[in-house]
Amino acid sequence: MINGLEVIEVENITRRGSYLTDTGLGSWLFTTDHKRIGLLYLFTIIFFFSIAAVAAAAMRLNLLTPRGDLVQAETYNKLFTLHGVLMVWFFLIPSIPSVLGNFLVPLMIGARDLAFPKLNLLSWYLFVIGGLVALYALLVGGVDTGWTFYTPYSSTYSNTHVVIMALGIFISGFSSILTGLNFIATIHKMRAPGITWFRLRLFLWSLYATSVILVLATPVLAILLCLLAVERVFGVGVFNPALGGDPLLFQHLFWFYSHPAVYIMVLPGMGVVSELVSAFSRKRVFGYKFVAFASMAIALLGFLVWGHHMFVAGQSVYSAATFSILSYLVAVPSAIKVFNWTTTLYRGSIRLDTPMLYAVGFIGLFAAGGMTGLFLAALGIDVHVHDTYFVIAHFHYIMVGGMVTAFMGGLHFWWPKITGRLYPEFFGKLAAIIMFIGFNLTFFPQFLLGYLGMPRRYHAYPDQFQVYNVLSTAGASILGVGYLMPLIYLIWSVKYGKKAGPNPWDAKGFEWETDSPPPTHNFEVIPVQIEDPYNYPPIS
Amino acid sequence: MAQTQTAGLQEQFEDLTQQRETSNLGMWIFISTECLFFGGLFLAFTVLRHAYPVGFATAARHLDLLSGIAGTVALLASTLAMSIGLAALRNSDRFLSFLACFGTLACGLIFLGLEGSEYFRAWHEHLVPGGSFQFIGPEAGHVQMFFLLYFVMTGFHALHLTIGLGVIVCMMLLIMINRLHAERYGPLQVAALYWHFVGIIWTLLFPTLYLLGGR
Amino acid sequence: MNRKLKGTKALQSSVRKFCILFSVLTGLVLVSAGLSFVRLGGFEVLGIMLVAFVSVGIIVFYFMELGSLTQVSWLWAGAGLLWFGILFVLAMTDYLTRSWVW
Ligand SMILES: [Cu+2]
Repeated sequence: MINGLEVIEVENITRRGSYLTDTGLGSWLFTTDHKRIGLLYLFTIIFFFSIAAVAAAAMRLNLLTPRGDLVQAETYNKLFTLHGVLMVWFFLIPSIPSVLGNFLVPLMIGARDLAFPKLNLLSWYLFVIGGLVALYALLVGGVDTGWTFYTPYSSTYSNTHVVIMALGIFISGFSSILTGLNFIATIHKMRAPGITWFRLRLFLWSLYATSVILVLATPVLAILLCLLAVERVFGVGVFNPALGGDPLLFQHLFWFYSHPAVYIMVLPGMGVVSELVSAFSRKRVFGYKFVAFASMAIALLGFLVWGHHMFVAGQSVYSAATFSILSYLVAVPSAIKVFNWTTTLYRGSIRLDTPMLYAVGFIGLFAAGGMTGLFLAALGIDVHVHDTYFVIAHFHYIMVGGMVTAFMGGLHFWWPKITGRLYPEFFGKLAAIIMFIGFNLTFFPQFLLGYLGMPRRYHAYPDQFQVYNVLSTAGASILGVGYLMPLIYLIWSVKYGKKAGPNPWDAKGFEWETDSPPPTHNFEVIPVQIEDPYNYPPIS
Repeated sequence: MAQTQTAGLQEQFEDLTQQRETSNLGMWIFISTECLFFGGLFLAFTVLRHAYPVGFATAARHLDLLSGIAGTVALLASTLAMSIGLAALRNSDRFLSFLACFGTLACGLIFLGLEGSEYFRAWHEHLVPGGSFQFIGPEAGHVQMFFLLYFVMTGFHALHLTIGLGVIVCMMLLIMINRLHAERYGPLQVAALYWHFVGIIWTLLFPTLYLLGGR
Repeated sequence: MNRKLKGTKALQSSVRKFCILFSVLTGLVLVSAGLSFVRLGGFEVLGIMLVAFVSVGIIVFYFMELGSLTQVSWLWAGAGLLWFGILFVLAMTDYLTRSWVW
């Protein structure tokens, strides 16, 4: 009986096609389908990631020798600025939210689309325009201020194209805001019957928290960049102390955005890992409510700690002490998550498929990144390691070890849903392991370098640091192989991969109940949530 | 009846109520974004004013208080008209609604006109920051700083207002062709929220810029 | 017919309400402008800002109908305000305590 139904179902699918059926260019550029917009984002961020990765490779090559033989100091400054700007605003921030989030939010809550589909398309266009403006700044000569644009260097002394770059970031900021707004409205108002707040998938909780930050932090960056441009153009002091301005005002506003932005770059990854850990240990996530509330707590507490970037900048000591203590507080919800993932594994029926390898890698790397964050939140230690490679290593453990790893895990996990095809498992696992090894080899030596005192943003260094730099560059080349492999086999799988079927992982969730790839309007009939979202059968 | 229930319903929503509530919430989220956008400006103003109270007070006295009051009242009147327009539409009085929207538009334009003349006067008195700025006195640098913030803050507000005017023109057209009516007033409600928020920003900008230093 | 009449009545009463509130707001503008002419040792600044906040409150509650909206809009109106507060309080903490030295 059920088989008979399935046959009819399959015939229906072939007849009505999937969201990928229509192939004209116009059908992509004018689509309001959240799944297609997610894919548009995927192509765009891979493009920006590649450019930023080339800049990173050039820097690592340059640092092979203490003299920095490859590029000159000015070029090096432009390289790390380019790398930072593109990776932060044009890869990491849109990575999981705009790609996987766009694709999955309506599917996970049983809706036909996001609340504002046209706004969603607009946000992609804004993103592309912002990206093109930033690339234009690169083509006409680049920017050398670093991604932080600290004044007064950026507003007065730098002879590079700061205003154009700021304009690019400003425009793409509105893309972030619109995406966040869309997710929040969707999660509030479009949930299918039966999805109460505590039956909401943890990925959605984390995206909600991310959206809170996107909506409430990004506008401050936007206005800051405007003020920066105005000061540069009119030569009137807002931030330049020589003209009576206040450089710390710039840093306050910048880090009010940019510290929470760090959580934009990791919260969605945490959401993906919650899903992966549950699906591959076939268990409910331990302490569901704690994990959900931890996301919200991180979103709120993340706004209270920005001063830890300014310990040596001359802010009031009372302020610094307050920010230091508050920074420790953020570690609590983050640690709750790590403990809960680990406890979910306990007595689970664990399968180490590719996505799970990434998830386990994430937990370890994120823990390392988080703990070293505590060093930096401590007033005394920060004076020693401030602006050294210790900081670089710390945030790469969070952003690459955390977010990129989670993104790769999520991409592999939902790839069968996105394309309807399975990727080759052997190469998937191999790439995951290569990436893990390459990553650690690249960035662990940088902790040591920073502790020994090598400052960031220099194109040359004293001889005694060379060993670690060579190790790091070697690691970066391994990491590069790790990134190239999925690019090849994932593209290959779109055509030649095995058909996936609706639910290749035998996982729970609305997205696994519809076809792979899903039909344009996601569901024939809007599903109803009648039980806990992670209600896996008990493990015997 | 069934016809009017589904007209204007987008495919991702179940019914018009859900659609209206969602777009309302969307506008509130947008307003919270805007709070922080202008919040950054207010913080910058507060910090610099805290550092240079004398210069800022001197500069503020170069703004025309009467024109400021007139502009504020014009914006409040536009807020009033907007609310009447929405109430009228909900109670099936499309004509009054159209008229009230026109009133909003007119008041908004009056405000922009007043602000324009204020800008013109500042330019005439060489108070626009940059190359043409001239001010005699020990606080010249801080006066220029004040006027930089003045132009950025009021400029962004005027930009928001202009966008709002465009939205209201669209609303008037929609009311005219009967696309907005007592059953489907959501878009006007969202537009009104935005308009009121623009008014709120001015309600805070006016005392901050014109009054704080004393006259 | 009856319904239409009721609608007209409701409209009249809300127009009256809005007009009263408009006069109150205009009065508040004049009050704050008047306050800028007096010197109360810094308290006039407090008064001006207080008047501004009251005006904002009236617009938010009556004109934007926050009083009658669903809980979620409350949440987001409040979030905007709370985060504005975070930005202000934590940043100003730095500026106001910088000169405290022991
Ligand atoms: Cu931070």
